[in-house]
Amino acid sequence: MKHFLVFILILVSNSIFACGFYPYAEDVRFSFFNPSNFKYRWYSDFNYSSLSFSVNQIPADEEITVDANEKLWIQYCKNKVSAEAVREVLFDFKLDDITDKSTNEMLQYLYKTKDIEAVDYLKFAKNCEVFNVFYDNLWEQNNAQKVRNRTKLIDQAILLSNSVKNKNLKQRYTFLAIRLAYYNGDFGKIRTLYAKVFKTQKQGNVLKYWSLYFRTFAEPDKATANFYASQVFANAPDKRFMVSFAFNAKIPIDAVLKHAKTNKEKANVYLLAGIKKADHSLYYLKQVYKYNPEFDGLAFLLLREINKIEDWVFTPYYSLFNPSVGSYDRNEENSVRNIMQRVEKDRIYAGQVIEFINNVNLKKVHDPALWKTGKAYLALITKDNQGCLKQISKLEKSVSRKDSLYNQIEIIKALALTVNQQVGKAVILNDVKPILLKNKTQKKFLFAVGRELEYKGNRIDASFLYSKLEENDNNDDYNNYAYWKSSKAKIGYYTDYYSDYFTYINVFYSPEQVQAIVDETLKSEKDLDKFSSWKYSFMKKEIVRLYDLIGTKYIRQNKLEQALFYFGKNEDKTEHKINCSDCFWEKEDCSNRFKSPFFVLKYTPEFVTQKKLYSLNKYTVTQNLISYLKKASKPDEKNKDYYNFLIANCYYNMTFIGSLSEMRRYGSGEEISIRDFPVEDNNEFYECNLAKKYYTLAFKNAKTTKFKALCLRMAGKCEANKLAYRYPDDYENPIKNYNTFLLKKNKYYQDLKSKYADDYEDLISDCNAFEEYFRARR
Amino acid sequence: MKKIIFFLFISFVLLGCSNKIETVEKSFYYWKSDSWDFSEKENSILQTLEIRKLYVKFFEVDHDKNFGNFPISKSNLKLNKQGSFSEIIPTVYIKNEVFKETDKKGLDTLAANINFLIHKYEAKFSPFAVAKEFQMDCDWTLKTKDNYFYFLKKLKLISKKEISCTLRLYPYKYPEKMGIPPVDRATLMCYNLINPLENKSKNSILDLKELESYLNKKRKYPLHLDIALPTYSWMQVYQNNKFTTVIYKNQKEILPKLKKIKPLWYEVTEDHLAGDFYLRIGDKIKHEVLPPDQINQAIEVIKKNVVFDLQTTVTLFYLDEEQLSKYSDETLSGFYTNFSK
Repeated sequence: MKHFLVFILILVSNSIFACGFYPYAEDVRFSFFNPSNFKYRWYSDFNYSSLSFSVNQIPADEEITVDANEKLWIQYCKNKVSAEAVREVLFDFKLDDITDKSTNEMLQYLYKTKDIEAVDYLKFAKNCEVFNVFYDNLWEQNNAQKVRNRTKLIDQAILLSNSVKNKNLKQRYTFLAIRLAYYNGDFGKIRTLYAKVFKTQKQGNVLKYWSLYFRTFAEPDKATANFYASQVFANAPDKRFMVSFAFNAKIPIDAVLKHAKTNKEKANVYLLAGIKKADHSLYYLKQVYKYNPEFDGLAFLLLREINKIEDWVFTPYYSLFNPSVGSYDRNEENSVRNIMQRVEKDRIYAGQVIEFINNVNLKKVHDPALWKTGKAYLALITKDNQGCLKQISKLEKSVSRKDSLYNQIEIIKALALTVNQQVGKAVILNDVKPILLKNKTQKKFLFAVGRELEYKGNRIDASFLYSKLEENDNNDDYNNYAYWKSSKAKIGYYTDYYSDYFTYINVFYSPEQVQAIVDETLKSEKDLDKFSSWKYSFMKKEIVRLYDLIGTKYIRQNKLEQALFYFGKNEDKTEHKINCSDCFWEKEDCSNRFKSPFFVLKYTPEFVTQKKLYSLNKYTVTQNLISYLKKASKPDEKNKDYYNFLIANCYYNMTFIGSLSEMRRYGSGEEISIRDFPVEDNNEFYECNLAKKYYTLAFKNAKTTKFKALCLRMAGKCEANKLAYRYPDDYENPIKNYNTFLLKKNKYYQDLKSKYADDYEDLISDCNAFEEYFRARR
Repeated sequence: MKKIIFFLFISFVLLGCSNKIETVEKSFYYWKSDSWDFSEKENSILQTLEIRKLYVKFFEVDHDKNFGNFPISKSNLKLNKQGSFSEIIPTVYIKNEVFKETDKKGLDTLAANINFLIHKYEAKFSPFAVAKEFQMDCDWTLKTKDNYFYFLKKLKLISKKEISCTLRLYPYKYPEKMGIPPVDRATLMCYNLINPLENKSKNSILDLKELESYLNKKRKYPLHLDIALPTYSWMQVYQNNKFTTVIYKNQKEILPKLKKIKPLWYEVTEDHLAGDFYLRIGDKIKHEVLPPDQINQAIEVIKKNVVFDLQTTVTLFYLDEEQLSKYSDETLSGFYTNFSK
């Protein structure tokens, strides 16, 4: 049976539904407009995020400000006590600490001024603290006792509120009673107390809004509750997170607005409603501006809206779509196209928000710098690069370089400058270089600049920036990594995204492009400027790997000589022969593959007993392959059948089912057995067409019936792989009698059956016959 | 004489092997925590179908290494009106984690706590008869089997009630491995057979092939078995091909904004606010829903392979106006009566 919430959590949890990491939500969200640059700490629980609202930790370096309650106490003490003294009494002291012997400044003041009423209040409040929870026992045992004690305290608080003279203390006692009543589940009492003491209060203070917070939960009428929630939200920052849950977004806003008497109250309603909206909030922005333009909440709402829009536009734009490669699947192609069309509509919406900003009087609003920076950023989103840069250049003059906002502006500038270049002529501009350096830990930013360069045809500089994603990998901040996909790649569950440059260029770059990366890196030895030294630093350590990649790419294209050249840059060119006994006595390191791919197929008994072993590498395999190809193609070669057979074996071993798949692929196991990996030789990797070609040539040149049969059998083995690849056994489109279906389509096996009937059973049922048939070559 | 004895013997054997349920006791699971009462439509369904028995989830039990075992999702249901129920069975869902690292003392405490809280919440259901049966719902594993079974025995001892538990198809098929829970009866859960995200092409709520792989031959389970069937649906949302959330409510509103791309799968064609979730163009949805004939086919498979007693309870999961709106009252009634056909 399910508990739905738990079930959802399980589904969302990486550790259960994937046996490893998979990026989602904040990991993949692209955001360059950082809320922490704008200091809306008290709204920060509502910073836009792909996750639901959560409490935001206050940065450790942020200075502690005096909150409203502390201010009220300081005022009460006629500004004669410090905030620290107040805080100590409220948060650190226990009941026993409240004595005339205390050295605390606030207590000393109260005792000195003989304000025993205030001291009694503080003691009473300390007594109440333990009752401000729902139940100390979740199994609800001993609950009756708890409720009785709390009820007594409520009655006491009410009595004291009535008897005490000071108005502030009266309100405080009432607040305590209201809060206790809330935990007692006595909503009627909350309503009565609130109406009696706070409802008619014209100037709200923190006590009123704290009480209103509990009053909200006691309100049966949903529209009224919404109204209360919105007023608490606006006026009691420390209650914002919790009261936001009391606001029911399904209630028509007009019903809520009926309760608002002043413009500020109306603005408060629109603010909370706007924050809770997951889609467009522009209308609410306009309304808040209309009723209370100076409201800091309005600026926060704008910030949130900008974060939404950038997520809607940049996340798919940067991470999903690879425009340089055609789409693989019709459905996926349509899906990606639909998403990109949607992105264009979101850009239009961004334009509407700019229009709103243009009509705002910036002298009236809170934090004009946010509005101006936001406008510049939105211009970038609408692809108005010139507009963006114009706005940026004004901002650069007005914002101090020491302000963190300055860096925010520079990030937008770097993106705009890069985007503003022509296709085919885009480079990392000199103005962009220092900004990249300064923000080198912002992986998504580096990625975005690289991606823009790639979109404009500069894949080489893009790759250098992608290579920087792996540096400074010291933290577990997955939000800061870049993950991106290609619309072409639809691989297995764990590997349909890219997060490092190598896997990406492995798939999408040509050998010439990788060569260009190598050339530029090697040339850079002479470059001394700070940016260049940073740009090439990672790639300098990758040269060996890149040469190997170029060689592998040429193997995929079956350009063996070129492949050999590049493998030769890294690898030992000599072929080491090893005695078997040296392996047994551990005189040689026999952990590397030592079974010749020309004579040995995986999972197959050997055709020829290997007396000597070979320590192989990509260079020696390629070299041998070229040599056998040359021999096989000589017109006067008598053993064409033999050489073609060996060549075929090698090509067979280079497919997904062979022992040398690393000639074509990186990684092992799941990574290379996944279908649809969008690499150019995918068909060859799964269909073993080259092996089939050479087995067929061996067949043509074979001189004995038995060897012909063997060649046909091997060609049939390749054909079987191809057919399984072309006609997968799919749950959605199941093929009846699948094995029979494949066999019927396999013309090599059909030929073997009809023309070599005596050998058919031996060869098909058992690979042990291979050695005998191979020897029967002559 | 010998012939008569032989005839009687054959008759007993044949009757003993008879699988036919003679009396179906109809019931529903009520699984919502935040509702105070049934809606008008839910009441109407209960009355039309003459449902006398209701399994109500009272609360769930979770585990935390600091706090130990604690109840969550406590029910808010208060049945103020005299309904037609003769039996309310308090049901408690217990996470498997609860039984992982615990000792006998902890299990004794758990049983005592659950018993206490059930009794306390039962008071909300007066003037109905005090429950005769408690049902425990836990997907126990090999590792937690011994602890769970110990707990069940303890609960029986303390509560002095009939104790039933839910039984998934895997422990039903492999009792020698998974054990037979020490309870008076078990409800065989014929749904949620596959991890929802594991197989993109199968309906994870109820796939007939999957059901048949468990119910592949007639088996007599050594306990009285009742049956639970699914009558719910959901939408799994995928953004950028990655699972994001599940939508249960307002599916009818969302359907017109979808375009079918392959069996079970749809693509969002119009931006839509589904509660707090913003569905965007291009998002993919796996809509798992069970048409009546699929449920009826499942019933045939169950009838064919599971040996029942003459009187058996058939429970539909779960009572919810929106979830049940896909089925007419007649169809729902048919799910029950098909067992005795």
